[in-house]
Amino acid sequence: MGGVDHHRLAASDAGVDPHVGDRGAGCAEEDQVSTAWLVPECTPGRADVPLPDSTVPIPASTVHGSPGHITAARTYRRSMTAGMIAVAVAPAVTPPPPSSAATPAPATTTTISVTQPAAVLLLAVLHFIPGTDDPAGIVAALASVLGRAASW
Amino acid sequence: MVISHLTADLAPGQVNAGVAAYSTWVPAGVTARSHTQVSALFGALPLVPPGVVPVTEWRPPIAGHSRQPADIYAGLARTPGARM
Repeated sequence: MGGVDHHRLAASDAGVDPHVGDRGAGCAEEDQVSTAWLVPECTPGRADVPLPDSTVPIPASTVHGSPGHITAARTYRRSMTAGMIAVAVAPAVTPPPPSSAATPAPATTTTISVTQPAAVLLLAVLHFIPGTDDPAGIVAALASVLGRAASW
Repeated sequence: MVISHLTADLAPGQVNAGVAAYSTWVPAGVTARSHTQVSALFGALPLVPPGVVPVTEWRPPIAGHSRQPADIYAGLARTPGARM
């Protein structure tokens, strides 16, 4: 268990890194999309995936969850063919109740430009949600917010 | 709405061992889900082709990248009111 200092976090507030984000046609290029990637040093295939230039050490305080996450990352290395794990660093995934979401918080509209195509990326996230916590319900709630965002 | 999700469909022995190892560290654990279960997470949202597939098969391979085994499913669906 090397701890989080053995890993690097690459984050971009300005846009998706072209090496990372543009794996398919029509990916966002200049929208206000925040991404963060946790790249285990031991991940096979990492050499195939150019790292963003903005890689910085991960302060331990910014990594959510226990060291077991890192253990799992190594255990699941076969799964990491893309050479990376997306980690959720957003402070919350719980959307506001519909009755209070008619007007988004200013922090939301200054971070996310819904006048541009927007997406919710739940990358390697939902398998941490047990069935008892209704992962499908979480997806539905987020999709609902995204749908309402079209009218913001 | 984009989802990628661990599955034991393709390598049940290895993945289930990994799930067990992980769950010894983290009380909440991790849940590998089947193709049917991952697909169900999208609910009624319309999936974009090719649907829920191993992440390395989502969209044709990029030049220079060969397909590799993956125990992660990936899918993309449009949300109501989504801009094209």
